[in-house]
Amino acid sequence: MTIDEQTLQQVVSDVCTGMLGLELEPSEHFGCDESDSLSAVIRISGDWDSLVQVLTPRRTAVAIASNMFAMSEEELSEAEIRDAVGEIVNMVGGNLKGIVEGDSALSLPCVGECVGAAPFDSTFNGLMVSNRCQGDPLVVRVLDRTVHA
Amino acid sequence: MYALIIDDSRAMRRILRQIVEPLGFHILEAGDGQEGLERLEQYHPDVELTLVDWNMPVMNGLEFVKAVRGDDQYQQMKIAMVTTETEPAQMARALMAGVDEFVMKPFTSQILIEKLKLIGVQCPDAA
Repeated sequence: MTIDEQTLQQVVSDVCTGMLGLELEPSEHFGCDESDSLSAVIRISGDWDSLVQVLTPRRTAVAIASNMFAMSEEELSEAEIRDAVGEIVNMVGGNLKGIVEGDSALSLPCVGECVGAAPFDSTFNGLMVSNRCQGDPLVVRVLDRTVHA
Repeated sequence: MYALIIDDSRAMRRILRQIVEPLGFHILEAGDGQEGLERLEQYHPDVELTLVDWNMPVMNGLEFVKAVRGDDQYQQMKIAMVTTETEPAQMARALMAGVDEFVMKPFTSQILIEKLKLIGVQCPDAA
């Protein structure tokens, strides 16, 4: 099975709403070049070679972390904020990997400041779903890099 | 009685703690399999249950399970793997290594507790 936008949205919803109890509303696509954003990326390699990214303004990341750690936003450390977003991309990537047939492996998540649309440039043409999470933007993107014979 | 939670994500450890602690367990935490082995050595034989992630740095969950099940003193401890890994071949490897149950991420507290009951985990505060 391959991944389509509907499947991706379902996985994101299962993670954010089903498990974490976050409010999630599909929304219009928004720009990914905000200067104060976090990017969490995980790589799937093997029969399916892809990158999965969770891209979110810092305020969304803080709201997610506050929910996951059951702490006030003021109490959170930078490490906890990044850890929370990293775990989101880990769960989304892991579930997508399980849907696509073949033998693939999941990397550890990598979380950092978003520079432009890193790691994808403006020509990105993979799958993307946009949501409002706790009222703030949350974008998940999948870039399939598999070389088909 | 202790439950050991091994996950490189502090957020996930926090979520698991919030579910398991009310069952009556004292909670131990570790950020990878190696650290988990050290906690086991410190608290043996009082660790009833281990919840372990698969995908971690230093020592992953599968390596942890193999190390634990290769040691006679830990044979009675229940191990649940809490993971995004869903491929049957990978799950078979983990079961053969000695995992008692899988809990797929994302999960709910009800699912986790049901899975623990299925493998006979004795919850200290259970009626």
